[in-house]
Amino acid sequence: MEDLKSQLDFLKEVEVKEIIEEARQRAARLISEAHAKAEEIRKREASDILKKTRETETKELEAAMLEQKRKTMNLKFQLIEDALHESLDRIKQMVNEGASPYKDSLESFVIEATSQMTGSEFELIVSSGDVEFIKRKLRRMEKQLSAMKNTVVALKISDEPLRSVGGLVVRSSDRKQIFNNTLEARLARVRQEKLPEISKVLFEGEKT
Amino acid sequence: MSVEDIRSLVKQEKESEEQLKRAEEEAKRIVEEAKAEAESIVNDVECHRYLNRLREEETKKIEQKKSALEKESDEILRNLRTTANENMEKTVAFILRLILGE
Repeated sequence: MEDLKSQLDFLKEVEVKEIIEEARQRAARLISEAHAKAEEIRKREASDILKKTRETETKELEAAMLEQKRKTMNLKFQLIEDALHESLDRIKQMVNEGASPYKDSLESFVIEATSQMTGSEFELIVSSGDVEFIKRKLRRMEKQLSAMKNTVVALKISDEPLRSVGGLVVRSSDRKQIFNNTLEARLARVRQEKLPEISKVLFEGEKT
Repeated sequence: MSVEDIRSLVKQEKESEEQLKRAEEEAKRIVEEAKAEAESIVNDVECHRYLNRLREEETKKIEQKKSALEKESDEILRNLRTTANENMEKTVAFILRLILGE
């Protein structure tokens, strides 16, 4: 009888231990799976964060670089404009003082304009300060142009005053052709055609 | 086997059943506790802290790169201005030559 009771006790003990052990193993599995899941979440979220910040970085740095380019372009444009304005101021001063570089160029302005127009009779619209100078050169210029055009060229000074800093406007006698060779027009052409060269001198100090 | 023995066995069996019941309850408690702990691990605050820190650090790195780029940009603009100032006279002379057709 005692043997039987002792055997029953033993079996009961074994069964109790098995129940508890099984529960502990299940608990350990649950914790281990939770750690693995947490690690997976952490890695996934970290990867998402890195991906998003890389995207933000690319976007923001590209925007910053574009802004830098825009600022550089604007500054270059502004500095070139400064140089052009300064040049115009110097020319105004030269015209007011009747300085020689300007007077010397007037004659070539007439030749340049007239040689690019058709016909043989032209009016020169000049500022009052340049009338006398042009008058003195008129015959010589007619001779030069006649030789160039292989026909007799006649030039006359218009009564119309020139509204400009300096330079002149050449008009054919039939008024069908006009060549604007005022200093403002010449500056506009320089601005339109010579910006790369001006930029090289201003920003690279390149000799031209 | 006497009646007394049988009674004693029945009593022992009853006690065993109760012990098994208690063991099963204990097992259930162990598993429930583990489930709660597992949930807490998955929603780990430390993990969120780590991710927030990572986000902050990455944002800071971007700000540092942007700041470096801005400094570089300012330096480029300053150099451009200096160079232009140095070459301004030469440039004006060049433009005057172009305008006057010398």
